[in-house]
Amino acid sequence: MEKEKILKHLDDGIEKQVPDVWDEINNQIHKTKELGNYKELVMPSKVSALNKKRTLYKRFSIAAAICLIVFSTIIFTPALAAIQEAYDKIFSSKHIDDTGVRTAINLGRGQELDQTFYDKKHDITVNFEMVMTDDKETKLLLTYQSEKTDLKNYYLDIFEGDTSVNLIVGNEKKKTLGYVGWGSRYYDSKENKVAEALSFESIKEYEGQDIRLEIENLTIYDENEAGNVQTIWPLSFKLDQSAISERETVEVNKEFTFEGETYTIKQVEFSAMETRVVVATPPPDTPPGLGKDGLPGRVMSKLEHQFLNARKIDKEYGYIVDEKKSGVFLKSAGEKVDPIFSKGEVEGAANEYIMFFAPVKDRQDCILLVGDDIKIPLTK
Amino acid sequence: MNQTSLHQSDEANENMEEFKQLFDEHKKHVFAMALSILRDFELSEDVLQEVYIKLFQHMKHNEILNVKTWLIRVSRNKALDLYRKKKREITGFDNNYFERVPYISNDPLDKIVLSKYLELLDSAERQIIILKDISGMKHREIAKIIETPLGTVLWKYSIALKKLRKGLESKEEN
Repeated sequence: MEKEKILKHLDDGIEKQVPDVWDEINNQIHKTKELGNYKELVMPSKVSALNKKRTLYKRFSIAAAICLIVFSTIIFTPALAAIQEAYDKIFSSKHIDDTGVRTAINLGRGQELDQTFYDKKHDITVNFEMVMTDDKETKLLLTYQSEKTDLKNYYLDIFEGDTSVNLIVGNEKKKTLGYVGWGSRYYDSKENKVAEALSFESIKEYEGQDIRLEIENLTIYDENEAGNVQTIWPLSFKLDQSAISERETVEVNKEFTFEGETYTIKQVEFSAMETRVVVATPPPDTPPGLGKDGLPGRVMSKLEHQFLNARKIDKEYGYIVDEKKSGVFLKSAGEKVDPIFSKGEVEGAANEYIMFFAPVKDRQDCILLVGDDIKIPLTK
Repeated sequence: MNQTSLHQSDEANENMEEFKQLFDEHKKHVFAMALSILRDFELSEDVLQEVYIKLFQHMKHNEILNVKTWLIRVSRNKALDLYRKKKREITGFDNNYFERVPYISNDPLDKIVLSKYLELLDSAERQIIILKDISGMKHREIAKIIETPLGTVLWKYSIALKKLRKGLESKEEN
């Protein structure tokens, strides 16, 4: 196709895509004129509208949860504990887009922390709720809230933000703990409260020891600036056995062919927070080119494409499964087990692909489902 | 209504007419700039609205010599800010993502070209194509807007067109 023709089609395609938002802009200008305050002129965002729905839904769900708990436990539980319980439910709700965390909480896993730290400088009250760890990862669940500081754009982003988590034992800083996936966050605008499930490397080896975790700096993703808040939120506790779960590795070594490519399932790892399936992938037909950083890029295998095919980005619930799409799933004890897409950045070795799923009910009865036709029992 | 308020009302109506004219003239450039960075129609719509609200506020107290360039610059900055904030949501698209996006044009070639443009080009290449061929800017102006040396702009423009043509040819072959 000629250059001029390509550009004409591009121009036409974009032209037809331009939304007619004049009425919205005009209405907003007139509304604000009536209020006599131009500085406060803020357009309602189309995407924000979805978030508002989320907030509304959230408000109703929190209200409903609190009412239900108050109603059912008013005789047995103090009111404050009931409200706290409602917040605990956030970590097992769909707002936390990590099925592993949700499953672990529902099964009563993890060490309760229930420690509060007040960041006086920024007026943020931090409540460390729970920690759980195994051989490969740690989940730290916390909420933070403020009456004065708007927390809408505040993130604990250890994946690519300015936040880090340091491990201190005694007076010695042992290390900065590396991320495992993106973690999961939910902001409740009514309460100006954030719930975060941070995900970082294992601290299992410190079982029985008094340790200190320090969350250093908050990351701000603001519409006007990307920045950080310099602070340290400390958490000291003895890592209890209740925080630890064992990871069981089963060597599978089974081959299968998908869309003409042959893969070997090397092993499956079962833990309380996830199920990892490690697959050896065929080398790509063409060598990858260099990326922007000058390092070799990576070619996605057909299996990886299939795994991501069922991924849906939902503005309310984050990364979720598109039930209408074919993908890669597990089946255990007769139930479908969903992928955990927030761990997409955890890379395997060369020519190795790791697929993450929620924990399974029955480790002896676990089948990998690729598309509609391929079913492989994940046993020796 | 007295004469003064009638006069004020007429003036306000004239201003809105002028503002509407600016909207009609440049909305495509603003939207396309945002789309080239965000690759998301809804977010680009948000940027479009925000930029025009900002223009309305700005024009009350300031004179803008070149409205089109001002709009494109503000659109770019807003989109980059939004991209930083939302990048987890709008990156890592799977292979056929841009083929499945709901396009409005009925012309299948419009859809194919737009989907390949969004899929195959990197952010800088997309911005340069939009600024050059949709907004009709000169390479020197583009170099200033995207703060990139002129030589790099020329080179990236040429690469972008080649990529787009190659992607469309392979699509035709399939």
